[in-house]
Amino acid sequence: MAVKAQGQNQSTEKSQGVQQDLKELAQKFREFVNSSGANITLPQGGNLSEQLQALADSAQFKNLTQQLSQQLSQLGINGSNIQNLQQEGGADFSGLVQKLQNLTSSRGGGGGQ
Amino acid sequence: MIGMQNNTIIATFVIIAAALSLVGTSYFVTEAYAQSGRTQCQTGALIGYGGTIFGVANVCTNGYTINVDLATNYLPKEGWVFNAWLVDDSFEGSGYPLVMGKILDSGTLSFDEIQTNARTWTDIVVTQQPANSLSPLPSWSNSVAQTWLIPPFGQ
Repeated sequence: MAVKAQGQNQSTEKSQGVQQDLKELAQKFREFVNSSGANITLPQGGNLSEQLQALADSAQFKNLTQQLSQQLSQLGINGSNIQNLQQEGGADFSGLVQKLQNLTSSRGGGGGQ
Repeated sequence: MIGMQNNTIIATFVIIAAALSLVGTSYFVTEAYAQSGRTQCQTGALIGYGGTIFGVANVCTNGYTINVDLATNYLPKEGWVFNAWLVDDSFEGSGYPLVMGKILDSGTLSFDEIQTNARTWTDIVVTQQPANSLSPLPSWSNSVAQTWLIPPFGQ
């Protein structure tokens, strides 16, 4: 019984540790986005593909990119995982938005487009 | 004898009527609960921690229901999968992560749930985890992207 209780305690501690780490990561990310001035919430309505392109081209987003690349280690995450991510062939914002629209239209709207 | 039969029939009728009434009430309460607020939607860019636009997420809630549609053009590395999580990190929030599931090979994920308070969530985080991992916890150090949720979320 004591062994089981000890195991449960370790499991709980591990779970709480992961939650704390994830929470800190989320908070640091928010700090970076806030200090860069980038607005990652896109306006409702209009052309979502153009809005994404405008975000990617903005000075604020370039500032965010610079901050993230310089301080990736501060986030405590595995940098090589991030840097080695691959995109689908021929991927662009139009294709990305089309995927999202296919999902939202299948539930009968849902906004955001 | 006939009187006893009548009483039994009446008692049975009353029990059935009460049961039907309870079922009906429960149904309408559930419906009212689920539909009690105006549904609000928002669309956020999922920002890769490497500084790219990883994807996009459309999130709707009426306070109790939450509907998430998420799309990405990125592919997980061989033998790994992307998982998407809702995170509660509002100020003194719990930091509790709720897995919405694996992003499909098509690069999409849809998540729908009725919750006691769907407005508690503040962020969506995407992690990359081994496909054969049995851990129910997020592999936070392998997180790859995030977006935040604006009000009515974060309450």
